[in-house]
Amino acid sequence: MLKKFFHQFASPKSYFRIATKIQNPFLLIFVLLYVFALAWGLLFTPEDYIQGNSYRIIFMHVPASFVSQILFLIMAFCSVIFLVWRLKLSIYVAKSIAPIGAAVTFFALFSGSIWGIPTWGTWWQWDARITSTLILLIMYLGLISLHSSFNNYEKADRFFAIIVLAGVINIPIIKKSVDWWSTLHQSASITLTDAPSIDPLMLAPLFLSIFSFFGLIMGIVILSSRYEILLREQSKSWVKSL
Amino acid sequence: MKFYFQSINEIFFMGGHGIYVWIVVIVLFTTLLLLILNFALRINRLVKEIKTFSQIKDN
Repeated sequence: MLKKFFHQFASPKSYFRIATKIQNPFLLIFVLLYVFALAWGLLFTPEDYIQGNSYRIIFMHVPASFVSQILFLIMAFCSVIFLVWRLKLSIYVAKSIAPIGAAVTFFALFSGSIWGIPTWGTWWQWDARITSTLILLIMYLGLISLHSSFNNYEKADRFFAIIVLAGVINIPIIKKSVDWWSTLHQSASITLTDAPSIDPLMLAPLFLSIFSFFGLIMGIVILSSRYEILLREQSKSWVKSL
Repeated sequence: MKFYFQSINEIFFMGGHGIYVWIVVIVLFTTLLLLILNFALRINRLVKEIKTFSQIKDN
């Protein structure tokens, strides 16, 4: 029964139908939740005793940095499924994540640069964390360009999946860069093993902003994966009867 | 939850850091809006194209 359910859901047609139904409420809920989390962080938390009010960028920068890495991991997971089980839907989703990942990574770098001006006195530094995040952005852009450079979807998908799996090595490098090298970027304030070094008044809206931003981006992934399915399956009868 | 600022001016300037914070807010929402609009419009255009193409084929 479970196998049947997964098989049905994994067909582009069923996924498209379910995604079309849930897309708008999903997006609306997470947009509202993120706006609430952002308002909470920007207007209802005290200022930082060292950084002043510029620290409020944390409620946008940290969710974007976190999601930019998670999106790549999801792409890698989908690529494994595609390479092992040849499930078309998984590569459609992986491909549709790339432009969103690029936009989110760009925003993470941009917000970090703006935050760097009042706190570090510079908007850019070639330190390990920032450089490895820039490499992540280049990888997203490279993957988009690689896929569109092929005439044949089958070849493009296979190369795309292989490059994603090779590139996933960058994610632990980004994560551990602040521990392995001496960087201008601060080390992690929230870890799985230690208690967070952030005041609970700031931590609660930060967690909510990370959660809601992730949901919001997944809503956009649903939207873009619907486009990818339509594009690839346009010759199928179910698409023509839409 | 306590409102931190005393006036609209304070919210806007944030002790000299408002310019940095609000630029990031504007860029964030512009990016999100562009992403959503881009894919929504692409889907609409593609659905129209598919319908037109299948109508031409039927005729």
